[in-house]
Amino acid sequence: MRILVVEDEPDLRSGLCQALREEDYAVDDAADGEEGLYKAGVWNYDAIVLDIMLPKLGGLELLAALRREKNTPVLLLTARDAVDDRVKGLDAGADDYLVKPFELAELQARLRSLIRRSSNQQTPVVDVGAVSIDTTARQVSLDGKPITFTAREYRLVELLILNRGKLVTRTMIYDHLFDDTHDTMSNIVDVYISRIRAQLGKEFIRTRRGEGYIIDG
Amino acid sequence: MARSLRWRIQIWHAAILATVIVAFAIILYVQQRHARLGAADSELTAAGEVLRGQLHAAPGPVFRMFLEPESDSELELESADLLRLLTDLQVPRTFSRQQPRPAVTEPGTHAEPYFVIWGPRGTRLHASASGVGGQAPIMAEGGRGRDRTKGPSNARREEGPNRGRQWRFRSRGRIREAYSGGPAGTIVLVGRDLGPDLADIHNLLLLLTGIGCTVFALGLTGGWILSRRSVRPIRKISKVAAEISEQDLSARIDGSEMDLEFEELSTTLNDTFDRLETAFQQQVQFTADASHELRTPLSVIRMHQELALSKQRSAKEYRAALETCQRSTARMTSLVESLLSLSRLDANGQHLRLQKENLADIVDEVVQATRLLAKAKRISVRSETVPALINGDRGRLGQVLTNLITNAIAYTADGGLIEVSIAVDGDHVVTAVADSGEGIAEEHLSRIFDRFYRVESERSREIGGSGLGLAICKAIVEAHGGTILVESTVGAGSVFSVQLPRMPD
Repeated sequence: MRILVVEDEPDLRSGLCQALREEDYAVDDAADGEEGLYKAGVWNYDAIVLDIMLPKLGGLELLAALRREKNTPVLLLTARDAVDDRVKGLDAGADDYLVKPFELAELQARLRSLIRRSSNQQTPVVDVGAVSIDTTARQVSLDGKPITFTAREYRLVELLILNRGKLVTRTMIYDHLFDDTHDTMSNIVDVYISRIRAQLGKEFIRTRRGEGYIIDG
Repeated sequence: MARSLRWRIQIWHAAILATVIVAFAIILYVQQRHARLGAADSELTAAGEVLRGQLHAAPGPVFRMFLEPESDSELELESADLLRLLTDLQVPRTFSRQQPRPAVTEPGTHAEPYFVIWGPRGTRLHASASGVGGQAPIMAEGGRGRDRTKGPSNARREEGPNRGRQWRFRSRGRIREAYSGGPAGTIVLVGRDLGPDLADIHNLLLLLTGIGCTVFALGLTGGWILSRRSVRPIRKISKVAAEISEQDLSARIDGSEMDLEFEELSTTLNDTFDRLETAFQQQVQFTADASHELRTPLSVIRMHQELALSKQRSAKEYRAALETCQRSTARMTSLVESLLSLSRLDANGQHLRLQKENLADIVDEVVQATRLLAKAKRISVRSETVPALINGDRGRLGQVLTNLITNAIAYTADGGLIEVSIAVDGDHVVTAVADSGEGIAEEHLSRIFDRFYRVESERSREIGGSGLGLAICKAIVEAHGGTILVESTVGAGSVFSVQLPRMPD
């Protein structure tokens, strides 16, 4: 899962990024509205954390511009808790909002919920055959027995399961698993896939040569 | 109700109106009555004179026969003369002409004038009609003016040569009679029923009462309408004023159709409402901005605390988290201090320690203190000062200058120039801080002294700051009774000038 944080206050931005990375998200950041809009346009993020008060391009303007192109879930951060500001934010196309100062746990729960909703997932637990995934606890289990994965491996399983029945291309995997600071080696995805197959069984993930991977829903 | 302006106006109006009308009616009534009765009296007198003249003019023998009708003298000729005299005796037509209307009196009374002549011994010698005149009047000796007794009950005949020749009057009910002595001790009386006159006067009284009541009623109605008209704008104004509340300050009084005085009042009140609304909105905005500014460092502290505590971390990570919290705390502290000094300055500068100061000393001190900062950017600070006495708070004015000069240093490129000058201009001292910096765009100039207003630029982002610096400068200068202005050309630099009232040497 890849998330964009658009926040101008450096200490807040660094804290947000660190917190999300520790939750095994791939995180990009932007310090102003223009940079944020550019990144949001280039990558298909799973969610965007967007501050309203931004230099160069305000959060609401960014949101309006983004909504003309994409439906990426957006969580607004606002320092004003006036009803007006929240209404404006939601009307501009935000999916949720948080008033500063907020608790990290709440921010993370809201982000999970946003990502779940955007992939039409009602509950945090999804079962695919014998494999079950709990997106809140970030835990995968086979026949009820928990399987241990690294953060990246887990995110890849999550990505494939949330898109089950659909082809997941290698590009999609790169986009969602790695942030823009990461120098990806071309075969790293193959390494992850073979490790997951080793744990969940060879038939769990099917390979479409030259295109990508798919889990049958 | 008694305290209502409208009722008070109305009551006073009614009282004055009633007084005027009643006084006018009374005066008119009394005057008319007097004139009418006076005229009647003069007419009676005139008629009596004619009658007396006729008696005087009668030849002696005839007059004697008239005096003693029972005497034996039976001279035909004289008897015929007497008859002629008696036939001729009458009140003049001119008198009757005064009563053109048919008598409205009851039967048995005498609307037409009549006369009676009594002999010296009280014998009734002749009368124009039977049963008129009543008893013979007493001719009081030396009596003057009017004898208003209702008949001579204690009659005592007055005899002698001094019998009054003047006309006297008496009233019997509605009948008015004038009497006087005639020739040879006779008494001549002319009378008339004043019924028609009294009826006229009575009618006049009714008419006056009617007119008075009508005028009073009209006056009251007019007054009521007028007072309502004059009180209506007050009601309108108070209604609008009542609508204005904390939630909605937008109501305004429409004074366009009011009288000039009320229009002025409305304009004044509307101005006040405008100022209140602006002040209130600014206050709301200020509170929102202040909480916003406090929330950001608070969020940082909270986030890094939670993050640090979420799992076991290295000493280096804890240190970094604490340092971040320290930065944010420092920022909040400075913000709270700024807010506090602003609110103190808002309380009319009560916290200023005003004393006689030489502005040049303050400028020199601040220029010295900021020299190091300027040197770091290879900016030269030039100051041109002249001694200028002001009544000010040294610390606060130093704060203003420090703020302006550090701003100038921050926004001026390396190697630039800053000029600080003092100029005395009449009653004012103008301190100017000019820089060769990037300048401020036109659209920001009018708002640059607003609280929490920031010119969004790469540079200001780097410099940080609370957005309150210039607002505090403005508040301090204004608390000193001065003004602060800015002029700027993008790319060429800005000039901030502080104008303070000069203290006489």
